[in-house]
Amino acid sequence: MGVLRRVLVAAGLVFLPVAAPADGPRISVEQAWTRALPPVTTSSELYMVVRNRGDQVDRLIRARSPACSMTELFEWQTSPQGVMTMRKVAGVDVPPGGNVQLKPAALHVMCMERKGTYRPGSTLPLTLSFERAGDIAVVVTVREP
Amino acid sequence: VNVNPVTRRRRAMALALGAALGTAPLLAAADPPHAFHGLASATPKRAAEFTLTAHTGQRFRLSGFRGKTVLLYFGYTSCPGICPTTLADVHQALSTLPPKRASKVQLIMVTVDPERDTPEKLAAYVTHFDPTFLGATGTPAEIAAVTRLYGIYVRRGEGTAATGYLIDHTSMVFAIDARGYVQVLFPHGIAVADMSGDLAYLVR
Repeated sequence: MGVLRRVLVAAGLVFLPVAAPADGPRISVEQAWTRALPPVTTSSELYMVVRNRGDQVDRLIRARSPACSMTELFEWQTSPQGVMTMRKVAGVDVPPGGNVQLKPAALHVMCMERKGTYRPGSTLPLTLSFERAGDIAVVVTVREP
Repeated sequence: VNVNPVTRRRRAMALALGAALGTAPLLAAADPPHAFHGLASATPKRAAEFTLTAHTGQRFRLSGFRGKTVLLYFGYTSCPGICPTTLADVHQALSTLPPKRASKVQLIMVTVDPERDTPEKLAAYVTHFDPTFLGATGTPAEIAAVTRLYGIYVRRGEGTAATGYLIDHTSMVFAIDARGYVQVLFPHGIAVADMSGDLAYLVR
């Protein structure tokens, strides 16, 4: 610590982030949304941006929500002929200083056997589990169809 | 030749569908009347005729929609992501057109899941996205015939107790002009503005 900084700290002029660890992943989840679907469709896809502002990679390993009977990480893949195929994903690495986008026709959280009808503007709770950061609570907003 | 992956994919898709429809896809247009954003056909062919059951319960023929631009799509009502994205995008594209023009477009979603999709389910599903959308179903044999005519790949995919099963299928929209010719294909994920640009031309 430099002399100037030490003086400033002594004077209480610099905030020291005491609790925050110096390194590791720092995960945040933004723009979580799902499309309002008719009751006849019992599953929903949940989309969001997972950001890692830390300096270590972290891995999204699980998603769960009391609003769904079951949740899985899924990914759509498009063949050269335009055929869309879905496959289960065991985990997703979120690179340090980077982000992973969960979006339509790509990686997403599949919410199976949705409980209740989602209306535009309503929200549902979701918990994402990461290998290092642990559980992160997310609020998913239901958007217009 | 250095071709980017998206272009390559679109070309492969155009060729596959061109083969399926017996059309020669236009890849590099020379003085096209309108530069389509979707995959346009150089020599548009008549859309193959079919008869199915509308979500109203009534039988209809595709040719009964002459005079309108028909957007023909293949999907199913348990479809949680791909079909909703397409239907929502089409609705958005239509909402950018003047209402009089938009009313000259009819979207028809033919189910690829005739065993589960009743007319009632289809009605609830398609009208959720736009009240003018029409769902269509038929016997499994009728649906198999229509998907074959349009080169639509359908395969019952992974399923769980909760989802039932999902269906892997070709996700694209066939734009059939007012005279019954397939003019352009919209691949999945085409920008809404591109789709509405092409639709504005078709209903000009």
